[in-house]
Amino acid sequence: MSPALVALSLIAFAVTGAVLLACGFALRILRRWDLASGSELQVRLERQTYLISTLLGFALGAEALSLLLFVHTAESLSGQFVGAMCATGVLNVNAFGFPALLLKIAVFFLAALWLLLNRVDNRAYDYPLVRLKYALLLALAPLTAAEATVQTLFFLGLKPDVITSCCGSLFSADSRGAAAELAGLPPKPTLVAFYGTGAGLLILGLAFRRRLQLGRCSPPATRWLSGSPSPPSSPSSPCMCMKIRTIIARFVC
Amino acid sequence: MRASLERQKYLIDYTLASLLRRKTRNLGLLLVYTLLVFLFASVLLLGQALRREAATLLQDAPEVIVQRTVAGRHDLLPADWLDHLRQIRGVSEARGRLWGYYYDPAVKANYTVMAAPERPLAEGEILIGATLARVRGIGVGDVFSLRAAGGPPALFKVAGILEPSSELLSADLLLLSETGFRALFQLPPERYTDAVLTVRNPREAGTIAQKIALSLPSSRPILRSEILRTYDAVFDWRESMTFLALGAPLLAFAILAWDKAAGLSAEEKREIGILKAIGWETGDILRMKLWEGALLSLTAFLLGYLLAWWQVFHGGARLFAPVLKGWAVLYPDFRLTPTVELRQILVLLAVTVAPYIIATLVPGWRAAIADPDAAMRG
Amino acid sequence: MIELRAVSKRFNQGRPNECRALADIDLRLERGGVTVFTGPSGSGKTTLLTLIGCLARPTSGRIVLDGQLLSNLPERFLTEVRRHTFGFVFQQFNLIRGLTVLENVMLPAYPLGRPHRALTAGARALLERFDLEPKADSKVEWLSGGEAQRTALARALINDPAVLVADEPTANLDSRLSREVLGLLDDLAAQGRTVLISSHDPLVFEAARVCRRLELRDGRLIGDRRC
Repeated sequence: MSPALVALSLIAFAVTGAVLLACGFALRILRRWDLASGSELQVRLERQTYLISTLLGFALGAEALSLLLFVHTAESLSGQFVGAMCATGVLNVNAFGFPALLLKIAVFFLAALWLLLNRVDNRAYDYPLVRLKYALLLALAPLTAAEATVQTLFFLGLKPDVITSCCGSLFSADSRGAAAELAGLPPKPTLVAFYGTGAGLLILGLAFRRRLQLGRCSPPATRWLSGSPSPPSSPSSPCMCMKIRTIIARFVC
Repeated sequence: MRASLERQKYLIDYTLASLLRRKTRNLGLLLVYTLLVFLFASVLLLGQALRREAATLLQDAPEVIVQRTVAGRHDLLPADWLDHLRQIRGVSEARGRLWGYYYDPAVKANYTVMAAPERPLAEGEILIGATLARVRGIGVGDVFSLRAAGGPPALFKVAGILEPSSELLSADLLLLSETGFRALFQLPPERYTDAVLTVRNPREAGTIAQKIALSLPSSRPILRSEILRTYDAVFDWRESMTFLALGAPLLAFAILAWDKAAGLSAEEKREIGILKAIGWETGDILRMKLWEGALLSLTAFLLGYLLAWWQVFHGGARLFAPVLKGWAVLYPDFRLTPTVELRQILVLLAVTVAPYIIATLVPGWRAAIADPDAAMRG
Repeated sequence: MIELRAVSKRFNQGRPNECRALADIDLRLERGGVTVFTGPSGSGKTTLLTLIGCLARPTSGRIVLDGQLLSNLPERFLTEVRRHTFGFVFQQFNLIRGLTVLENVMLPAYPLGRPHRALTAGARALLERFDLEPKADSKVEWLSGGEAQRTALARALINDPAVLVADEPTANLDSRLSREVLGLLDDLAAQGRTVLISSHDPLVFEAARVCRRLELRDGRLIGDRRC
């Protein structure tokens, strides 16, 4: 029992609560969403989308904190378990350690993905990704609940006098398993591959962004990514942002 | 990109001005928030410092301690065990120790009495810890009397006071010569309280302990790592208990934050209505509310942490000391080393800032979705 | 050009206190000139102006701004259009207390993220135009009625909108100040901006260069006179 465990449990339940609350609204939106209507219900639903994105933003931040703290705590608890020399040993103390970590990572990335989708969706006039977004949210909810549960089970199963298998058996070069395979590779080429992939991704992303910013009205799918909203009518019409500018220009001059 | 940066700057500017405009309301919340951070930070800082202190001091503790048990209770160790222990592979040295407890009715405290053969002490001389010297008002050259096991009081002359830097462990310590110790407690010769071993490779300590347990059935080997682990666990447990005890004030604070965020004054509502009417979007108002929370949290966090730091490391740490150090009569007066850990800060954030954000999220949103045309009607 | 087709606005839909503020409004507003909306209180003038100025969405019907359909746009886009196209002057001025005149004038531009120096310069230029430069750093609570009105006007113009909407601009002013304000609105119309005024003050029709007069009653358009 450690204050870090108390904090982690608090965060996990808070995130679960936030996502469940968001789901409550999401269900209503999925059922009654009608963009063409100007009724008060629709206006209320649109306002609720702000709450949902704020809740998810909070969930993301909290998960990031929780992930960092989880790993650090596992590391610092390694002194209390015989045979555990680092965080891996602590996570191996009972069957829930690694699943908790994996679920945490999954929730973090899914929340980030959701926020990204939300951002893209907001740039369009007609909320094209509404169904996909909220369906994803409904999928995220049980995941966060699972994460909180598994984490709690992990913590409850942490009894400091238990002898755990040391990570020596996990990271040794001659044992089987993906982690062992990866750890068995020589470090230099692995590092090169790691940083190389990251750098390649960054370069590709920048190049893509550059191309879109140069004003080429690219196909509808990528139009959202560039920041210009998709038009409510046919895809052959020019970018919406240009259209708005033309309207304003015509009115002013 | 540049525009969105400017926009955030404007929003922060507006938020700051708005916070300062309502100083009294925000000050109350800020004070409570700071107090909360202060309490939690004090517990964490003190716990961490004590843990580090214990770990540093225990670094010089013996790797393996061997005790003898009779019928499950601790008994004196025979000298021939030492020869046996020296012969175990991996043990470089085995030494017998003499130590025990002495209850002093005058201060109602238990002293730890130890024979220190490495120090040049004559039979009638004694070294005492700084706390003891302070409490009993004794100095070098004074006579200190202890009631010997035989009956008549044994008189010792205070030859020196132990260094204050080791006060955590030596607060209640009395050091005697070996002969003086044996005379005081009437111990038979060739008997020791326990044995300490020095091992060549610390990683083999566990294996050596196993060998000892197998070859000497009534022995109880204790590893230094086990002691450290136990201290760790005890401090952790104590910290958590305090955290849970602080759960009630935390909840009260969350309710306060919710109440303040939800109970906007008519003036605040009017302001938001005007902002929306002149061109601010719901997202902008929401961002403004979030900045408000962020600024308050940051201020409270920094202030609370700094205050806790001062209290623990310069102010004597009186606040949570009894809980974390355990009860004792003789409290050493030692200076703790300041330590900052990322984990500590993350825990603090999780326990103080996160609840505040949770409490103000929904009310903040409710405030931001106000209808702008209500402002049109005045 | 702003076009309204069969626009209706209902409040408190589905509840016992449902009220219909506007019913089946069909309207075409051209660019330029001063248009006045008149009618007794409760006739829906203010509601109509909020709909035209993209402050709210109609319950039914369509609003088209220069060919672009506005009525079913999500709020953030509506606000975007509003920021660039419409400037509002409210009946109660609605200035933020505790801030200076300059800060109040700059407020609508904050979400746009314009560079600070350029924004301040633009704001000061506006204040000078309305003879408010000496009061730039004083708090708005200390302004007189006329000064507050002109501050509100400057604030409405900070984003250089094409349309200026004024709700009962002369309601809280005496005759002299009223004529002054109407003169300013006239100048703005002369510059090419479209000015929409809602008022039941006869002074407005005399003093301003009104080119169109729309009459509302019980949420319906009953009169449309061009002058």
